[in-house]
Amino acid sequence: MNGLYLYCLREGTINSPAISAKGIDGKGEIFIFPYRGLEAIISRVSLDEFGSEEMQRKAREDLNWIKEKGVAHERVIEEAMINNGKLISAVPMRFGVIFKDETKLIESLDSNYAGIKRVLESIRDKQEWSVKAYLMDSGKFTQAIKEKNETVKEKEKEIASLPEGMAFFMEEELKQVIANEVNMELNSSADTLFDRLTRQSSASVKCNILAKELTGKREPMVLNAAYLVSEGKIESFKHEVEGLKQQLYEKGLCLECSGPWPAFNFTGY
Amino acid sequence: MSEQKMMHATEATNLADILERVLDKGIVIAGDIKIQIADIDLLTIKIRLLVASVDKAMEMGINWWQQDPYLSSGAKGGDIEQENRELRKKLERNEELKKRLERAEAKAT
Repeated sequence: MNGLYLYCLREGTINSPAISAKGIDGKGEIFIFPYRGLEAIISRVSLDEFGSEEMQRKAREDLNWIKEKGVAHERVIEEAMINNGKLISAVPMRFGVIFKDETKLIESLDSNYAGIKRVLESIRDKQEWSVKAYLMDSGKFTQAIKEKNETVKEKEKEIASLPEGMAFFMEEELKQVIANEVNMELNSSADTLFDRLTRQSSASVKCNILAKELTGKREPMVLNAAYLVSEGKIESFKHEVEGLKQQLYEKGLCLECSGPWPAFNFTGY
Repeated sequence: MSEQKMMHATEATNLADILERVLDKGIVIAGDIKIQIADIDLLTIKIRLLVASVDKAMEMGINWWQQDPYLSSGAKGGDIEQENRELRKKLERNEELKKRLERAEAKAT
């Protein structure tokens, strides 16, 4: 028995090329399934395989499997978003949605039809971009605070005026003050960055800070943001990113920008 | 619409970007079957647990996502010594995490 794995939905296209990426099972062909002016991007999968306990277990435990399938899912959506060299909007599905047959798929499309149309409308001519900031050089960042931060300077003055024995204990307190100020300054830098880019976008969202184990970087992440940017504003958005990148580099922060992504962060409803 | 390709590899895109989106976000539409995948937070814990096991770390590579040329641009040359030190530190912490996760899972079932 075969089921249908759903990758994404897009508006009906004309003469769209076949999608060459392989399906989630590594072999299935990708089909374009037209329905009421929409197109569902699907591939056939074995229900025995994908409905099995074994598969559920892998999805929870086998990181290599998750990696492979996650990338396969993403690649199909990316290809479905290109039509004759142009980028088109698509509503991406979360990983792992399978229908037993066409009837079930149609039922689902029917009951979600208004919502899907609304979401497609909201992302029309817009692209999702990702901006992440990392604390690249904490020494540099801390140094700037030691030199410029008023609270820290006050504390230092206080210590300098104390007898030597007392000053020793105050040093610990100073360290704490510096750590606090570093934390506050990091938060406010991230907020400023987020807000400045929000002004260049139609919508923005702060995503979860990802752990080092996931990013594969030694530097801690300080901001993880997604922006929905109108096509007409992509250039000014990127320009703003470049400007901010320079400014933040001076402070010891590193900015990464990537896109366009499928609009995962702006299509949930 | 602009003449454009999906250009994710332009800058330091890695697996985290993909997993974060594919597993955690996206539209929820009722399918007959849903593969219940580990969410992104749980995934982080699982990765920690995996690095705790030296065999597994060797087998998979602690930074398996960095070694995939499609997924990473500008993967850093690793400082093995530091990596080792960090690994050892993680081992201890992971034992604790593992216990916690086991307790949580026992509760959940």
